[in-house]
Amino acid sequence: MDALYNTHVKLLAFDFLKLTPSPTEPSSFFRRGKRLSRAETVGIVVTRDLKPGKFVKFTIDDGSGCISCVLWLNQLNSSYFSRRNPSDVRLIAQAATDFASDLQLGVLARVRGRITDYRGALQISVSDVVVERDPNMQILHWLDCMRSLVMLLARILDSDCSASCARICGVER
Amino acid sequence: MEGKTANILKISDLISCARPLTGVSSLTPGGNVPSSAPQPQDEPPMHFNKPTSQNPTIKLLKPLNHPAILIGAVSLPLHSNKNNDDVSTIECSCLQFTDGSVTICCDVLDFQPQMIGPKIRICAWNFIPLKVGCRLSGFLEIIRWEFVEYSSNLTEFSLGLGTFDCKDDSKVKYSLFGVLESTSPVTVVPCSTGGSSSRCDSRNICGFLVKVLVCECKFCRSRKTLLALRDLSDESCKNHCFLKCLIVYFCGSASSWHPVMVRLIGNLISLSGLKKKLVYIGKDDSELMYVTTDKALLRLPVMAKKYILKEKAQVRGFGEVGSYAGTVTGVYMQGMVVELDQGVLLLLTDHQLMVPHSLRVGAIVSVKNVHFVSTKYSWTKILLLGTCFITCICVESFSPMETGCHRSSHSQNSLRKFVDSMVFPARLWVLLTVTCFRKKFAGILSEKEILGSKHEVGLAQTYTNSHLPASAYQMRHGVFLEYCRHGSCAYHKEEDYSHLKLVVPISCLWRDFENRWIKMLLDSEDEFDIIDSRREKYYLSCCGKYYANLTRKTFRSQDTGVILLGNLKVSPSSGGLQLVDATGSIDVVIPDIPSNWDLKRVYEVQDFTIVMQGIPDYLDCSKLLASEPLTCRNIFENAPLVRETKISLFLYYHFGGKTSSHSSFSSKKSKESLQEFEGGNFHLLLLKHKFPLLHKRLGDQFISNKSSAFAEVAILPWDLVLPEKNDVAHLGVVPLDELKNVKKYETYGHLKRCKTDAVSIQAQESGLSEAANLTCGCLNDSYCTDFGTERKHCDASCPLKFPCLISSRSIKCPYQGLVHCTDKKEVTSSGCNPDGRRVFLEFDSESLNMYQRLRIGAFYMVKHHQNDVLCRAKVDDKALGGVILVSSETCLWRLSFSSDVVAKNSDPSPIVQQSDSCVSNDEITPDTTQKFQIAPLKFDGVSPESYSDINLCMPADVISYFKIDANNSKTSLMKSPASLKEEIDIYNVHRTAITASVLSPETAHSNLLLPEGNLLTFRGQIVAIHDSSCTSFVEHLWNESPVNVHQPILSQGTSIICIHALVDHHMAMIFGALDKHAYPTGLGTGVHATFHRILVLGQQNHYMLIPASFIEIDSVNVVDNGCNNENDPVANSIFACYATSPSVFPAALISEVTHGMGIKLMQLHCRVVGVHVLVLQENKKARYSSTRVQSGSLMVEIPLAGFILDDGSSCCCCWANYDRAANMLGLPTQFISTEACARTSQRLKIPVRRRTNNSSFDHLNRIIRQHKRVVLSAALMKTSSDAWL
Repeated sequence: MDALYNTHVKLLAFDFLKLTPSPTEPSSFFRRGKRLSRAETVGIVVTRDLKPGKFVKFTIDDGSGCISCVLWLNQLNSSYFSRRNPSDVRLIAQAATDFASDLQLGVLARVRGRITDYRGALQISVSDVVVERDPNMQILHWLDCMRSLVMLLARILDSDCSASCARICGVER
Repeated sequence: MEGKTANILKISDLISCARPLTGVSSLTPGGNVPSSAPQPQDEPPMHFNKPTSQNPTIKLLKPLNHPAILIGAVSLPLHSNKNNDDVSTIECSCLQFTDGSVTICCDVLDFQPQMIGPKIRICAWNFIPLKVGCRLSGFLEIIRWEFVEYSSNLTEFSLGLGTFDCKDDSKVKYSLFGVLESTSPVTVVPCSTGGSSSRCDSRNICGFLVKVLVCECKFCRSRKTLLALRDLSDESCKNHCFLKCLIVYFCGSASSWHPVMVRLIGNLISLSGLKKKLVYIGKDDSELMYVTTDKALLRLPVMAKKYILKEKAQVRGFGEVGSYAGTVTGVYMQGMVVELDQGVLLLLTDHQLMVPHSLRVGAIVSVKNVHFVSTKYSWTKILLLGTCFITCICVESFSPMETGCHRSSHSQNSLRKFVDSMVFPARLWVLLTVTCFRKKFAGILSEKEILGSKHEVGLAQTYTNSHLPASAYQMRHGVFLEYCRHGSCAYHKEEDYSHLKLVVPISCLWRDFENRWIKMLLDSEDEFDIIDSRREKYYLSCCGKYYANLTRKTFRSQDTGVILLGNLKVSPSSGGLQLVDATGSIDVVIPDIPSNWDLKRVYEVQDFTIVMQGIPDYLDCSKLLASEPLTCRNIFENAPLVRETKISLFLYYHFGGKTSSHSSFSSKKSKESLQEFEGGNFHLLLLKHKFPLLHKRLGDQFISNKSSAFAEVAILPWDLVLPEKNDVAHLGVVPLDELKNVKKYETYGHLKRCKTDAVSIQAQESGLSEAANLTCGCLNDSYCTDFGTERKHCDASCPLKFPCLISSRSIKCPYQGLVHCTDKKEVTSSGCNPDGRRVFLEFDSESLNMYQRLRIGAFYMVKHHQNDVLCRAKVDDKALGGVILVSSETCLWRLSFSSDVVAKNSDPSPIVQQSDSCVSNDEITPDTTQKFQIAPLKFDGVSPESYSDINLCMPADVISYFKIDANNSKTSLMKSPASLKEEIDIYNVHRTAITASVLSPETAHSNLLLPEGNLLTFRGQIVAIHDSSCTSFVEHLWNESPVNVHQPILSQGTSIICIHALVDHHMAMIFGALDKHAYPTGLGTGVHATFHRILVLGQQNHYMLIPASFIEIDSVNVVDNGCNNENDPVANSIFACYATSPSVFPAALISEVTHGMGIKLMQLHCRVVGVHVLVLQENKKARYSSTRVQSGSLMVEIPLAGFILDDGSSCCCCWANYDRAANMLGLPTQFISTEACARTSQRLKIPVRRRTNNSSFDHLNRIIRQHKRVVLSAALMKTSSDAWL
């Protein structure tokens, strides 16, 4: 299994928006050939649309672009959770409500969740939210994102090189 | 059938074979084996009479490979044949077996009294060879037997010599019927003079006592009892109540029945033909008892079943009498101690006890009427079985192993008597101590010196006697009295013997502490079940690299309950001080070692601190932990020394004062070292420096074999003149005030001294200065007469002569001496400069003990000898820098100075305790000018600066001269007295060997560039020590130091160490390339040390040890580091300022870690996204603890927790201990210890949640309360992980 697949990959918006949905698996997305399903972003909440008891839809601006996010609040009514232990569901619903109240316009939020595609647009289905108080966290996030990008590119480059080397060797043989 | 195939063996053949054997009448896989007697084999015969279990690989008894039987008869031992010359004890009272050829001792498993006499066939047996005196013999263990011919089932036995008569003799007055309770050992009583009634008036009487419990009902009291006995059934027995105790004396020929009576204990018996007599059992004590006659008969009921005596009270270990059955697992100390079931010790010290030979390792024995004594010593707790004269020992099953027979030792030395005169706990302690003494002094002292002889008291007895309280002794009254009046031997339960400490052999101490070390590591591993977190604690970073830090653990002697005895010696290899015994040695650090310690004297160390330090490493701990070295078993056994750990262990204690004591006993008394101190002229010296020990290595051409240590001293321009011994004798106590009242000086012998008569002194009224002036001339004359060459330096107008009071530890009454200026030029108005006059002291290998105790910066005095180097150095500049050879005869006394003002201000009376007042000359710090101060008198004797041998109390106005001396000397110490080059030049001039030894031979060439720079002395607390790589150090020097250090100084292949020392709140790094043995014992973290002549490197706070550098240990911190220092704020602060902190770990990504970075410490910036596995269980301790938190508390333990971490690059699993798991789960902080939480939070940088979701914890609480234990695995968490996050 791809190690990155279940990792909340730190992505800047410009990178996130370039993800391509997998033609075979609805929950998978490709980023330069690597399969992802989860993502993490840090940025300012710039829009917020709350539908009580249903969801809160908000946008995170991380300086390189905006990422749409949706946080579901319908756990108590949803048939998806009906089979689970009601006390568990209540806890999950309570956590989601807490997250929603944290998400105010202008706060610096760290958001993680599954990458989904809604009507052709990419978004994050939020699983947890942390409001960051330290503005440096955003810069650290940028650095982390750039670092992972560089590593990814380096790996791609390496594999390209080794592939071409192999090709050359094969030719020579 | 059996008889047809089985060989009939002869006992004589078995004895000549001299091998332990076992044989049976039939073997299941019957083979036709040649019918021959066993032949002596090539194997060496077994060790005769060696009953110990010291060999761990005990073999099973070798069975004969063919059926073999023995035919013979069992008979009773004959005690009554003893004549007057015999000793008063009976060696054994075993049954005898004879087959016509030889008679040997035997023991029978299914004993019946009927077997005595007729011929029997022995179908299963063990034979154990014995040596009786010089004669070969053996011991037969009869497992199964049968009558050869039909024998009537007799139930009546004649005890006397008379003919067997089963008729009821009407003349027999007394008879008894009851339960046999106990028997005493067989004793020999000297016959009273000319008793006409006594049959054996010219002989000793053998005999033993028997207690029979009888019933007092009418039936029993009637004479018909005996007749009715044959029909006595179990049912009718039940109607009797056997309560009344009667004593029967089996004397004369009846004494042979002892082995039978022992086996009948608990049975119903009937005795008839008895007389009633008043027998003297003590000097003034007599007892009415029944005595056997020649017509005495023993009858046994047909249904001879054991009558179960009433259960005694519950055994609580307070000396109750009871029975114990167990397997013999060890026999020690010549059979005096028998270990049962690997934990219970049976004491058989009393030589009169009858112990069967079959008490061998592996046998199952039952001990009847034994005292149960639960004993708690300072180091262990054990159940003792104390035997007395009512105790009987029977073997229930013979040992199948090839172990030696039990032989009671009948040696009558004084130690044995001493042991017997004690209560049981003290007996065992003495036996343990004797064992340890024998181990400790094997080869040093003879057995006789340790154990003593019949008339002489040995070392072990002297020692133990001095340590036992009076209550540990008990009066012994002999067998009769103690048996009849039983109770006197009972254990004094109110006495506590927990203060008795074990004198351990040093090898045992090593093993014990190695075990403790391993346990400590294992415990810490349990605490941090993740190995890396343990490692993290031990590692520190230096110059960008990680090094293993020394872990340190200290134990106080109170915690261990042991005492050490040994000689103090200077190790020839390391030059360090060691406590040595025959089993090993241990390094010691004694800050206050006196000058008169003696190599030959045995010292006792009671109160000490053991410091272990080492690098924690993974090791196979199973071997070491299997045995506890300080259990009684291991002490008695000769366990070999196993050293598998790489720890260093040293002992830290104070010689004087309350903290320790040294024994006064010694095999060879040392000469009184202060003898020389009395009388004569003494030079005063200031020790400037000590050079590390020189070790001759292969290729060293310049080091002579004898020279090994050097020290540099400055000669003070003062001499001390002391009166002769004879004059001192009548000096008496000189009050302190007399110092000022001395008016007149008179001559003592050849020198002028103050008048000794105290009365006349008291009559004087003039001041000291006047006295000095008055006497100057005459004293000067005589002085200069004595030291002719010094006349020119002694100016008659010199006022600097003054009396002083001399006192020391060993001198009870201080007496008067005179301090005398020898070189006026050196003494200026601003003081004297001792730097100008320096000489070297050379210590040969025999005087290394002297070298050991010298302290840099301390004052010493040495006896003047005619025309010695010191004298010449004072007058002749050419003699400066000369070398004085210090031999083992030379004495150097450490001096301290005090003023009369100080003494008077505090309390003049205890001036004898002078040693506490001294010139403070050890307070050395790098950057502050030293203030001279006279320490106030302290009487607690614990000041580390007060280890002087001799104190000079002098007037306050003249002590200022010494003040300046000291001040100057300290200033010079502080202010880089020489460059390294100069230092080496000095050695080159005076002793090529010094330089040659410390530098490699090629570096001695003059064209070689040596490091240059200033030398410094400073004092600091060592925070860390680690081995450093040579290359990094050299790079370090090249890069950062302007000092011209060249590679050759480091090219000796010695490892480089790096010392981090906290000096005046600055961290100093000291690099060293010296040999390991140049470091003093005890150098480790937490130690306060003074570093002398350290080369200052270019970079701030960087220093280097040069070959002349010397490290002195000032004090050893007894606070641990490593695992257990978390509660100590000081240690924490020091450690925190230097040891690893999260910031020094490189940040890493999980994807990098998973791609293999090896074991490294690193930081991850990540989040917990899930739980891999989590075990939550109820915390039972917290549940019942009084500190239970308010409602809503979560009382959980987390024995196992694995979390999924995600940092965006990858995921990984993280194992966490309790604290960290609680943090990662976001449990409220009050549920975990605040300290631990804070530390973990700090390290983990977990953001504090704004609000605590109390409902989740209540929920969790409910779950835990209901289910006690909840296990969450990854599969479960996958679906519900959102609930946690």
